[in-house]
Amino acid sequence: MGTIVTVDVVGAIDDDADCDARMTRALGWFEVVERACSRFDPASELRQLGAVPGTAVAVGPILFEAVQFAIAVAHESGGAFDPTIGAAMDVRGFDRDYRSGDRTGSGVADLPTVSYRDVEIDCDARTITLRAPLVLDLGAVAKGLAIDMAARELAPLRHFMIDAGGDLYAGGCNARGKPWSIGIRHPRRDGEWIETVTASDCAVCTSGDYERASANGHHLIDPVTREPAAALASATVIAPTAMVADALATAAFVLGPEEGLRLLERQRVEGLLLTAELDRHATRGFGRV
Amino acid sequence: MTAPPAAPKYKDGTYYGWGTSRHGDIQAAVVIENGRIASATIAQCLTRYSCSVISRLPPQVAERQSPEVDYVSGATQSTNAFYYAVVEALGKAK
Repeated sequence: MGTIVTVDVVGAIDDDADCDARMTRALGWFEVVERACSRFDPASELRQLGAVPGTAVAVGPILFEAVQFAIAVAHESGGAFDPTIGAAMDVRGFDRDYRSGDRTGSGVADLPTVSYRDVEIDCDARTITLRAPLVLDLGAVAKGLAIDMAARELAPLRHFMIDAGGDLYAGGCNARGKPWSIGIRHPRRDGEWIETVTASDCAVCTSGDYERASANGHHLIDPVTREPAAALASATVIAPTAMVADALATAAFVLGPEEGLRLLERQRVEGLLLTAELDRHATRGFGRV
Repeated sequence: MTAPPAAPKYKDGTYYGWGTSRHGDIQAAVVIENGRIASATIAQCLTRYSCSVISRLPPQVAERQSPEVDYVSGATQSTNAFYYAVVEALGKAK
């Protein structure tokens, strides 16, 4: 995923071996999710699904869960979040395997008529059918899913933090026995944060235009315009799980300050949306302890 | 540290790389066994803030941006000196 993952466990550890094993399994989930959901790895389950449009493919539980959730968020956001954006991202230069630097684009043409409605999900048969040639990008959902699976491994340890490249899951309390104190990265000043929140047993995820860039702009593409969404500099969401926080932060980022805030309020999560001018749009309960 | 990659293959051995951040320089030592990353540790830490390494499997670096917050939400690790040091070391292992 091109992400540094840090796991921090605090408190007295009764059983070192169990703690080690849980931390190893927690980190292992990132590789499992990547093998299923990577747009860049030609051998991933996602790429194999993309190779046979028109065919109902029985996929494993990780890919099924990620796609099902991504499509649900697409519906909820009226298509502002749309995982079928992969070909558009390839075209814009987001087609490099982060490890090798090799270009691993799928070669599928970016057709503006393709949308999340072209993904058919059969919950009974656990199959996915792509009704047209398209490339799924699960970046927003897969990382969150991996974080949630990792958090499940660490849950018995009570107090921990998972940091996957700035997307966080905070378990319990920090070393001082207080809810984790989290700064929200300043969208324009590297190394600084613009606000702080406290978090305990929840996820905090931020989508920002500063994260990944190509020659053609940042990586958060508006599915309607096919261009990088421009209304916001960053969107931060606090939610019970990282998959929810990750996907809704991306959706809100594309929707912009007003529509984005309405989406978050409808979904009953807290969030902070910042424009490039650093105008602040926050849900009612954001930052309240 | 990311979970060990399934591919590509690296040549076995120990490789060193340097990474720079606004906090200072870090040298990483990366050990390749059977073509995969067996460990990535800090060989030299010349940063202003201490590099606290949690010595579990695999070794992790917990870098605090500031003593006032525990963590920062929003892709801060992309400028992590340790990450660049590991990338440089891996470049030598190909």
